[in-house]
Order: sequence, then C-alpha cells, then structure tokens
Amino acid sequence: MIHLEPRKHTSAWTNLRAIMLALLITALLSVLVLFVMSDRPTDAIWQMMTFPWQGRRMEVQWGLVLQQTAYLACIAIGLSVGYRANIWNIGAEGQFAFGSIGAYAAYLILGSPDSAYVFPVLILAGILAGCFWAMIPAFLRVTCNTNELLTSLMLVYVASHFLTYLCIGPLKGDPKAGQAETYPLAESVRATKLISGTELHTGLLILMAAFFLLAAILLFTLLGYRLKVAQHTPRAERFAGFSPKNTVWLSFALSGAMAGLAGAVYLTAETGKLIQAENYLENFGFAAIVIAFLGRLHPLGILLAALLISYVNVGASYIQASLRVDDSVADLIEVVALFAFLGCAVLDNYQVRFTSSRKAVTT
Amino acid sequence: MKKLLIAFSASLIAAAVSTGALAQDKTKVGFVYVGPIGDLGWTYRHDIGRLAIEKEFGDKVETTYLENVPEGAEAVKSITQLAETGHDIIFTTSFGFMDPTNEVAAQYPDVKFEHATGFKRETDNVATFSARFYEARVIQGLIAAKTTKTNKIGYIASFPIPEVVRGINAFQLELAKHNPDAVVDVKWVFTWFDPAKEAEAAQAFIDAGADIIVQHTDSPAPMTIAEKTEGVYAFGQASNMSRFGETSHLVSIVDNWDSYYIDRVAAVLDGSWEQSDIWWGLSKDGKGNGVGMVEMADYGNIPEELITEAKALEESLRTGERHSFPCPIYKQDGELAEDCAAGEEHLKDFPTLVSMDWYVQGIEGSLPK
Repeated sequence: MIHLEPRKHTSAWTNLRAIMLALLITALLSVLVLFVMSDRPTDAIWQMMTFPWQGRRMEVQWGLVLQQTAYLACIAIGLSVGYRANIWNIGAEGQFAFGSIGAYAAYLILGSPDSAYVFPVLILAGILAGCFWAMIPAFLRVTCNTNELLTSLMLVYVASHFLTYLCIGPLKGDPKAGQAETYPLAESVRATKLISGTELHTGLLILMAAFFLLAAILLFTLLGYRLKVAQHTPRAERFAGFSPKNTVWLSFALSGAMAGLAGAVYLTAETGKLIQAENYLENFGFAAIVIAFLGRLHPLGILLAALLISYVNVGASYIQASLRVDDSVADLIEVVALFAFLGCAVLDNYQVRFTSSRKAVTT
Repeated sequence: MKKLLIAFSASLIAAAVSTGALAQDKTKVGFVYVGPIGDLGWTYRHDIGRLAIEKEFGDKVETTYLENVPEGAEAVKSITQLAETGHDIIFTTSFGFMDPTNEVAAQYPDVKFEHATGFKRETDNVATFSARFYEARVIQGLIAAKTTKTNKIGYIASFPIPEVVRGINAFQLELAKHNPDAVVDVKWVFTWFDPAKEAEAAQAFIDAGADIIVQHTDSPAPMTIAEKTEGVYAFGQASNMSRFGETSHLVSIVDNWDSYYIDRVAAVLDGSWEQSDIWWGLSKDGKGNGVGMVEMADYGNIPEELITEAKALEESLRTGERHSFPCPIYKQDGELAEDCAAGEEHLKDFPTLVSMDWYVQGIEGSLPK
C-alpha cells in the first residue's frame, strides 16, 4: 500500500527542492512533447528555448513575453487573494471584459474627449466595472450561499455575450470593419508605445505597479496576514474577529478590480476599441488561474510563473511561425507544468510511505 | 541513459549551428488564415493555393501557415511572428487583417505583404488582391430567378463590407431581370465561419418560406440544411460544395488563388515584386485570357436548358462581352447610380465598386450602418 504522510518539517530548502524538481520534470516532458509534435525536434527545442535571440529583433520577442507576463501576473495575483482563503473566483475573464466595457463606457460618457487627461479616468472606470462584475458572485455567495465557482464561471459567458451585443448593437462602429466593433478611442487617450514596433507600452507599467502594490499589501500588512489566517485556519479567523463574509467581499472585490484594470489597459493599449468577444478576449482571465496555482499563490511565485508561461507561449508562437509546429504545444507544456508543480507541492508537504498490505491490515 | 543524453545534447548543438545557415537558402512564404484549413470553404481554398506554391517552386521555397487567427490584437502578433522568423512574403487572407497587416508592414519594409480583399496599402511593401466574385453572383442570380417557386430567396451575409455588398447587388440585378417578383432577404450573421450560426440562419430562411439559400460565409453548413428540406436549393461558396447537397446543390463558386500566388512568389524570387492591387474574375484580364480567381463548379439539380443558359452567361462574363454591373443601375431609393448618370456603360472599379456601400433597387431592408 502507498500512504501519504504529512511531513513534520517543511522548509525553504524542501520548498525550493520541490520547485526545482517540478521544473526539471516540466523541461523533460516538454522535450518529449516537442519530439512527438515536430518533424525537426532538435531545431524546435533549440528555438523554443532561445527564440528571443533567433528572431530579427530581440526586443520584439521580449516585448511579447513581457506584455503577456504583465497581464497574467496582474490578474493572477488578484485571484490568489481569494484562493488563499478558499474563495474561488474563476470568472476573471468576464471581469476583464467588463473592465474594458467600463473604460469604454466612461470614454463615451465623458463625450469622447481627445485628451490624455481622461486616461486615468478610463482606468479607474475599468477597475470599478471589473469590481462590479465580481460583486455578483460575491453577493450570491454571501446571501444565498451559492457556489461561487459556478456563478463566477457562468458570468464569464454572460459578459462575453454582452460585449458582442454591444459591438453588434448599441455601440456599433464602422459596419465596414469586417468584424463587429465600436469606434476607436481618440489616439491621445491610448497608451503610448515605449519602443516602436514592440508590444511594450505605458499600460504595462500600470499593470506592474498594481501588481507590486498588491504584492506589498499581501506580504507586509495586517490585511495580508488576515487572509493568511483565513487560509490556514478558518476558525481562528473568526476568533480573531475577522468576518468570513467580509473575506468573501474583499477577495472578490480585489480580484475583480485587478482583472478590470487589466481589461481597461487592454482596451487603451492593445485594441483601442471594443471588438466582438471571440476576437477580443485572449483568455488571460483563464490562463491566470493556472498562473496563480503554478506560483503557489505567492506574489513572487506568480510573477515567475507568469514569466515562464508567457515565455513558453510566445516561444510556441515563434516555432509555429518558423517550423510549422502547431502552437497547441504551448497548452500541452502548460498542462505538464501544472501537473508537475502541483504534484511536487504534494510531495513537499507529504511523504510517501510504502507498506506491505499485510502490515497495513495489522496496524 | 548517459549515452542518450550525450547524443541528445550533441544534436542540440548541431541544430543550433545549422539553423542559422539553413534559414537563408529558401524563400519563405507565410500565410495567415482566419479559419481552419479544414473549413471546406474559404481558408481551405487559400491553403490549396499555398500547396500550389510548394508544388511549383519545390525546394526553392518553404511555406508556413497560421490558422484560426482572430482578427483583433492577436492578428498583429501572428503577422509579426511570421515577419520575425524571416518570411519574405506574407499573405494575410481575410478582410479583417487589413489594419494589422499595414501596421506590421510599416515595421518590416523588406518583407512583402499581400492582403486579400482589402484596399489599404499604406506602405510600398503592401499589395492587395481580390477576386471579382460578383461575376459568379450574376450567374447565381439567373439560376435563382428561374428555379425559385416561392419567390423568396434567403441570403446569408457575413459583414457589410464592399466585397459582400457587391455580391448581393450583382445577384439582385440579374434576379430582377429574369424574375421581378422574386425577393431577396439578407441576413447579417457577423461572422465568416460559424457553422452553427450559418445553419441557424439557413433554417430561419427555410421556415419563412425561402426555397433558395445563398451564402457569403465560409462553411458548408447552410448547404447541409438545405439538403434536409425537400425543394430547397443552395449555392456552394468558396469551394466545391456539391457533395454536401446531392439534391440541393445548384452550383458552387470556387475560389482559385493558385495562379495569383504563384505569380507573386515568382516575382519575389526574381526580384520584380511591386505593390499592386489586382482583381481577377472568371478570367485573368476580364477579356477571356488566362485562368482567373473565380470558377463555377458542378451545375446541377436544374434543367438542361438552364444549365446551357447559365454556361453561356458564364462565357460572356468571362470574355468581358457582358459586365456584371451594366448601366442603367438604380440605387435602392430610385436614384440613378453616379457612374451611369455620368454616361458610363457600367459601374467603374474605382471608386464605385471598391467602396460600394449601397443597395441596388429592389432589395428590402437597409445596410447595417
């Protein structure tokens, strides 16, 4: 029989060991995946690892990686707040969409101004809209005790259909665009590029600032401590005078706000307009869930996980373009990484013991 | 195990050394598709064109494609990756890639870009091309006029862009000529490829009494719906869809990009590539010479004499004896089209057809504005 016994001591060292082991397993399995999926596997593996130096301009590849990292890290750290307290908001994609809608609505309400000063207003509106959309599952959980996994997920579909509806209906822009979309924001309202021809823009700085702000709150303040308590011993949370209901509200508000912020930045920086959902949403909200777990719900872990997965994703798109390897490679590697990391986390916290079945009966 | 590791790392190093050298030899041709290559329609035909390039030039070229690329921000990333990986010419084959193509082209002046069905050429390295699909719509108009019994025709349209509007107008003009009582009902589905939505639209038309389904979307779903109902007929779009409508398929418009693609890649190989805006119809020059971008496939399920008539019309369109938009043409509100008022024999390509955003007389409803 195989038993899992809780380890008495876990330390930074065992932690690090588990992470290194997970990385090694991920790397080996990824190589295997590439061997199966590519007809020039050695080229594929080499280019996948070194793609920023393979392309024509290094800053373009790094731009793509850092852009994705910023969105994923920002949304994932918001989600991790709730996950630490066993509150499962898996609807960040919908809150992201609402962030964009909120920012665009604010732009219209202000009368489509052509002025850089409204940029912060748009961002703020996006945060509030994302927050608003996250409040619905929080409200249902607190008042009716509904399962927030289901409600938050279902609201993603409501949000994306609402986005498409706006683009086909009330906010419809140029009908000759070839896709349903709104009229674009004025150029001055949009985030500016840091390096021309790359995806690096001022919006990413805002995302990273938000990330580090929330990371600092979680790591160094009473609020962060309180959420940690809620995670490990829910009863102690109550004894200490923290209300579990408030924890629900707070974690949904924070995760919704972060996703909404990302949505607002995406609108101002990437597209400049709302577009029908299937052409607009890039699944950042769902990918961020994986990032939160890969990063073990720790801010630093989340940042590194976001960087790793973005690197893999962009690398996959690179080898798809250069070697015709299907980019589902990225999804496979992501799944492999998730299993390796979760598996190694279990082995970090528990010890495997093999006992003979006879012994098991006697004890 | 150890040997395996050594062999593995050795091959990695070998690969690293060789990739740099290999890449420069071949001319790299990239494609960006909006749908899957298995859509059996639009994207499928473009991919046939890609394979024609491989067949024609063999070892001299290497082709790559990215499929299912959304037309939003992700299109820019996909096109950028093709440019970054050393592609010499990149074909972007959906109208919605127009702005992304121009945006990336501005960053890579030494790479050639070919955008299908668009009209923006902001830098010298962007060319556009399109097919005169509307010539085929004229033939469909004739067949529909003489086949419909309910005089109701359902037209599934994707987006109100000039290419689609031209098709609807050409169809209506010929339909009205042969059967003034027939009415075209246009439904905008706002997608190029969504079998479920396309099927839904076709079914809605049939439920409302239509017995002819015309589509300007990419999947064979409407054809399969028509096949299920007795007495309902449909036209195939982009590729030969006759196998989906044994008793309902009238004729398919088949896109043929092969010879254009081969011409353009040949121009890159010999250094003669230049910006252009090329439209081919049933023939290359509109006067009956050369293989064009539009073909008619498998006339069927109609009487022999109608086939003969349709083929005669096809021939006259091919040789340019007959134009698809002959004057006089009246707009929906009864006003004579500007070109006709100016004494032209038919509507002009520029600026009338390229930016067509009005219905001709007889179409009900209005263009989404």
